[in-house]
Amino acid sequence: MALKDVIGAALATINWADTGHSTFKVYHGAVLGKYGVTTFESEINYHNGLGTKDGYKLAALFRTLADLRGLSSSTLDSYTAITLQNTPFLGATHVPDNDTYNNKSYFCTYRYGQCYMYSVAKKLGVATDKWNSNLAWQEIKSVLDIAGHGVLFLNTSDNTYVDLGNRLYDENAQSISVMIELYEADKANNAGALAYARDTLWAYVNNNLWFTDHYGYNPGDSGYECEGPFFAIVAARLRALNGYTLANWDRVITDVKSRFLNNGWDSPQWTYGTTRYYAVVHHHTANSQRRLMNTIGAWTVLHAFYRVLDPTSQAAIQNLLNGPAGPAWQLLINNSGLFDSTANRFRWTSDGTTNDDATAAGCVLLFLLGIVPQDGSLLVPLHEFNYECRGGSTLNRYFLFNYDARTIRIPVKAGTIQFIYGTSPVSYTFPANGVYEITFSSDWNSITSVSKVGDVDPTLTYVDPVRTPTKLTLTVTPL
Amino acid sequence: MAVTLKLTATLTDINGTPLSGKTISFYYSYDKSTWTLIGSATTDANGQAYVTHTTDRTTYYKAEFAGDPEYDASSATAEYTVSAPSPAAAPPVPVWLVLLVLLLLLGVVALTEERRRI
Repeated sequence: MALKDVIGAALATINWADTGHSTFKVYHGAVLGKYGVTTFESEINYHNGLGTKDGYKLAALFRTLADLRGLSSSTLDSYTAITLQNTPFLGATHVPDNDTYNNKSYFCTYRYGQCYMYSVAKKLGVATDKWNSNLAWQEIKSVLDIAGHGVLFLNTSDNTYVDLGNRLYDENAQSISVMIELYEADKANNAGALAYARDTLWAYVNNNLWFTDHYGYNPGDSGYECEGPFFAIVAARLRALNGYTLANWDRVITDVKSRFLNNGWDSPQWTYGTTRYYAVVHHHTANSQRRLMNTIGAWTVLHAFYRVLDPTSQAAIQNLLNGPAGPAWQLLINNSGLFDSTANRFRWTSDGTTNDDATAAGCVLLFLLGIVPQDGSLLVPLHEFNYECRGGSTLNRYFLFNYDARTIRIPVKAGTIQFIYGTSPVSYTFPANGVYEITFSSDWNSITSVSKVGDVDPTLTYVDPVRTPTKLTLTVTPL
Repeated sequence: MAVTLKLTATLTDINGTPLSGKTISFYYSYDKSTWTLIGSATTDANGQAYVTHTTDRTTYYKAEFAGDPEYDASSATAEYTVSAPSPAAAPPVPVWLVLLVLLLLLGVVALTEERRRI
């Protein structure tokens, strides 16, 4: 069975007629060519209609994901205006009330797409007095200063917070993400938010969570934990927004290599103890649960980081994707416990049940596993609007997998890329950076057409600036 | 014997379009291990940059473009090989040619003597 057959069989099990009002299903369905702007409009309208803070929170996330997918309409804007006007805030401050802990309202730094709403409010000119990013980042900073590090739940109306373990990602990276999103909402006026993320929060991470060759779970636990890929995305975004420079950036590269690559499938993020699972494991030594969303995150990061890694690490990525142990997609569906090969469906976690949401996400993961970079690779813009990119992975409008049309859309750094959706690999050399649509033959063993459909936007955040490849020749002649 | 070489680096984008105004650094090495900077030059409208270098032995050369915010880095190498000089040997003169020349000379002498007697 070829990869395209696994994807086709899994797609056929999903009830696309019912969105389940799920951001997971709608977002991944959009990547898979199943949903367009009208679905996002309907979902925002539906969640506004709930009239609850959770409803407005999900409406905000749907709007964020629509923008990520490049979808726009006047209806989308008018529904979003309702979301912006009705989202509850913490007291008189400018920070949304988006979660509850022990019966008390908090802003959870998981954000649920809400930090992006400051930009949308500004663009639409709606409720800008409430969605004031300049006051918001300073109000949040006041609470973080009291904590001395990132936190999960904070209340800006009484300057209280809840610390659930001072973890690398959940508390610290997510707080960094809040600050850099608020910076992006108004770069001219919020440079202080970027500086705080860089000089205080990032410095804390490096002073307290670095263990020899990787970032640990929390200051007292050096274990490899499943949020590693999303942490790398946050760090890369911080570096990109800081002019592609960041103290200890070499550590982030070292962390990615230690976590995923240096020992191939025996690297700690793919294993529990010495058992290989070919998917991201919750905690290398403390929890053998495998996680689908985190595996998507891992492959998003490995594709994104490929072009800045050394040749040995690049070869390691190629070997994971299609090496001696077998293709990654086959190892995943046979060994990770995340795929039910009888039902052709995915589950979010190895100890969970299969469902439509996870199956749609799993198909997006298989899409990524069919792409093997060579001297060309993917130019992945890095987005992180929500905890674990939940409700949507980081893939923006440049990515599309249309199974029925046998067409994929990907952002490419010029060079050769191999595709392994059929029974035989097929390669193509892309002559320039850009967004391309590639159509395959019926068996997906050959390419029938390639067209460049646009340029990548260099102002988005990448692991490294988007540059054009060059060629240098040297000749020597006697005078 | 020392020879002066012209090193020409040509920088293009991946489509072959020349890139002007880019700094190229040139290096030489005798062992491919230790590289010494010769100098830097800027590419012209044809994407070409030049330096010269004088050497008396086999020498390896490297040109590097460090990259900039718009373009990726790239590099190229070349080699100048000096062949070991072979001893300069005069081509052998065939014996028959020597004899022929001698006979001709003798003939000329004989004719000269005969005319003198006449």
